[in-house]
Amino acid sequence: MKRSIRREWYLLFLLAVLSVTWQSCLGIGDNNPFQDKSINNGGTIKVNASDQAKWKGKIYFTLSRNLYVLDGASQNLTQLTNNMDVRDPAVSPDGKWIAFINRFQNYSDLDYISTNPADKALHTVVTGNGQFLNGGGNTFYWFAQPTWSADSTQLLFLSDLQKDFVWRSIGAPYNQAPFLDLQVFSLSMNVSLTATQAIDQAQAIGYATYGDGGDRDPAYRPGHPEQVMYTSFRYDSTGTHQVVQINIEDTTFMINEPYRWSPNTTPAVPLTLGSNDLVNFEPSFSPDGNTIAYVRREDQTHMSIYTMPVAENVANDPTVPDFNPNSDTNLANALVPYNTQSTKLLTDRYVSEPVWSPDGTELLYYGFSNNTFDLYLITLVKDAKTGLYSLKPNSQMQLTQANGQLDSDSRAVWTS
Amino acid sequence: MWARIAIGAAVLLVIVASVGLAYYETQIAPSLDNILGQQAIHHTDSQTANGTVPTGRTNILLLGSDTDGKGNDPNNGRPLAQTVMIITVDPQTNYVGMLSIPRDIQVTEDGYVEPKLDEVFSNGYNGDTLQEKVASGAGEMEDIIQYNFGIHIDYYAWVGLDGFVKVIDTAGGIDVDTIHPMVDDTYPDDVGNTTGSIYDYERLYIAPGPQHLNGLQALEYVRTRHSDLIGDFGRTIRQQQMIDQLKIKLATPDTISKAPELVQDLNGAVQTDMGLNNVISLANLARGIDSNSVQRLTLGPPDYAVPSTGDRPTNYWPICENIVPAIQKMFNIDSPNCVSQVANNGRSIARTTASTMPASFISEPTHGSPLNNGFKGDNAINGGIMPFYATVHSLLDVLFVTTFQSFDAMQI
Repeated sequence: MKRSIRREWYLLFLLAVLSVTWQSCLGIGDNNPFQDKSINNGGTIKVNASDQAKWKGKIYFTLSRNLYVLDGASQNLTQLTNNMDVRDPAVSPDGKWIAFINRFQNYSDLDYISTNPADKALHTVVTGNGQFLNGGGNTFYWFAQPTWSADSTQLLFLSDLQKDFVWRSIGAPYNQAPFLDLQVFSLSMNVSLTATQAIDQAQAIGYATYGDGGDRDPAYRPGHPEQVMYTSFRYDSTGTHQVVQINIEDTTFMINEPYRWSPNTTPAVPLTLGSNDLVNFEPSFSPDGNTIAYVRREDQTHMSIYTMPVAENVANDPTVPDFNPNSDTNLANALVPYNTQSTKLLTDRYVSEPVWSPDGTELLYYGFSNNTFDLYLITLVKDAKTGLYSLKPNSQMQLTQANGQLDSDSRAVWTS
Repeated sequence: MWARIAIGAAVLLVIVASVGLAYYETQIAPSLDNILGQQAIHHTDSQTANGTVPTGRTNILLLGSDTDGKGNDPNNGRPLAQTVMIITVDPQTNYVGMLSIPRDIQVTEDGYVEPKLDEVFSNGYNGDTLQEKVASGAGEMEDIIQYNFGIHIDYYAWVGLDGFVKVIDTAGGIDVDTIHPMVDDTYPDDVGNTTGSIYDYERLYIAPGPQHLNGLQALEYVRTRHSDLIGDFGRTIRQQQMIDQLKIKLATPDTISKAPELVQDLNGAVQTDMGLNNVISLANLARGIDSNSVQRLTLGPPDYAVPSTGDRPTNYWPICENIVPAIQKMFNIDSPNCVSQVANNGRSIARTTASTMPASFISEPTHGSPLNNGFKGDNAINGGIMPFYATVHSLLDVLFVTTFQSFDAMQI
């Protein structure tokens, strides 16, 4: 009898173990909304397929330096490049082209491909390839963060194309080469140039200040084809504190009056305060061009995403003859939205690269959790009276579980 | 029945413990043996311990070499010692000083003309095994530092920078918010170099903002010197940022579980004549000290060195009238020294034999010093298995303080 009872308990225990195992295999009772998506290296990432995480359009981003597109409707993840070091994708407004940076050791190329998967041709607008020189120096160049004009014909980008240009008129340190800090330029997409050729043909749009890495985050303003925005990094006059500001600029100043401006005097108008150690960067225009989402470093362990309206008529005012973008009045006007209408959406240890949805109702950004970067979505609420945005409660949604493969230094793009 | 269960459990425990011990003895202990207790090999004839009068201090020489590059591979090449620091500790008063001697300082070394300090390590780098080579290079450095500056060295620790890369990669990389875009046209391409290019530079462009860095990228971020208007001050800010992130990273269960792999990363990348207790005692001492109270001194221009006007214009000559009082104060030395390069015009002084060399030129560890209460010379692994992760963590501290050239890194 005793032996029989022991056997029965043993069988019951075995049955319980097996049932738990089968449940796990069959996914019975499994509430995990993340689905596996295969990627190029034989691995997978997970994408949130829950109803709460539904979104429309396509999101382009890079995983382990390969370009992918995630389709909101089908939830398909498609690899677009292979065996390249791809950064900063940008889709043209007409939906036909994807520009990106193709990075190599010591230099990078500005390339684009068709969004049509059947067309695999790689177009190089400009190559930064060169060589090191005997006696010092080199002919390599960087390109970064391309972005398209509204008519899909021009590319705005960052480069050190003018690093060997000597500014004799404005003194040290600009009267010495090389000037390594990246500046903002534009080129037609319909060229294929060496860097040497591009030095002559590229249009300088935004100058950089010496010694803090230069500019970042260039973007054309929707609805205002002559206006661009970019972030400037510089040190203060004492050389001890960083001052990082978001700027807006009317490009006609640089195009029509090139000799009026220099790294010391630019037509760029700061939209954020220039205080010591205050960092506002990574701005992104809303689809209508009237609002900016941007990131602020709150302290060493916190960052926040904000929105604010774009100050109007501060880049240029056609009603004002001989408009001076650097007048005290204009500079003060440019800061009004920042000072009075900035809205904090969320705060976390690391948040970066906010990108608007095509319909302007959501933001995509890089967040950080469990020691890894992933894509997150939040839904915005727009006040009908003020036009200001706020965060819809409980709308934060983790879109990916990329297991360390998401390149958070390479901004994503969201298209319809 | 219960007796049988108890016996079975005991047997299982014995088996598990035996497997663990076997793993430690075959996989971990050899690495620790290669890292710890590697006595410096001196190139004087005398190996007796008739050293200087104990000063009430323990002086530890930290050496950092760029490795895994052209001619710098620690196994097949002759690495330089680009980082030369001396930490001086008085455990009784908790005084800590940190002296950095720039690599380009010209010194007097027997048989060499106008050598830079970083070349001294390479000049002494000889032996059949990696451990012997490093110990020999360290011994040469100790002797030359003693001769040129009068500083007696009790212990050394040497670090190869590729060890930093390996450790970060084993830990799964590190996540930082890079403070601004980094551009550098003349970053030394000496770690992870695969092209064999005759040019020893590479270009860097690092985007700002939060991102994940692997070991090589982390090293580039903390080492680049030309990306900042504020030069080394900017690099110090970045290094402090990296130290703060490493503190977080090393405390994660995932990293702790990789302790055996980390030890293997350190094998061939870290070496010291300190025993295990020395290293742990030093790390424990460092963690209890306010880093702001550490006295720091760099023997560089303009106060302590001037550009050479000799045959090697990239050298720097020491300004002895400023160095001597500074060393005396920091190291509490009655008779500091400084060999003037101007007076010698770069000519070396022939090394004397053991019978005639003054005792102050023999840099032997003063194990008899009363200051050794906290610094035991035994390699404690011979006495049994130490708390393992504390061991690894302390060795990592040695790696980081030399890589970052900052005492703050001892507190990771």
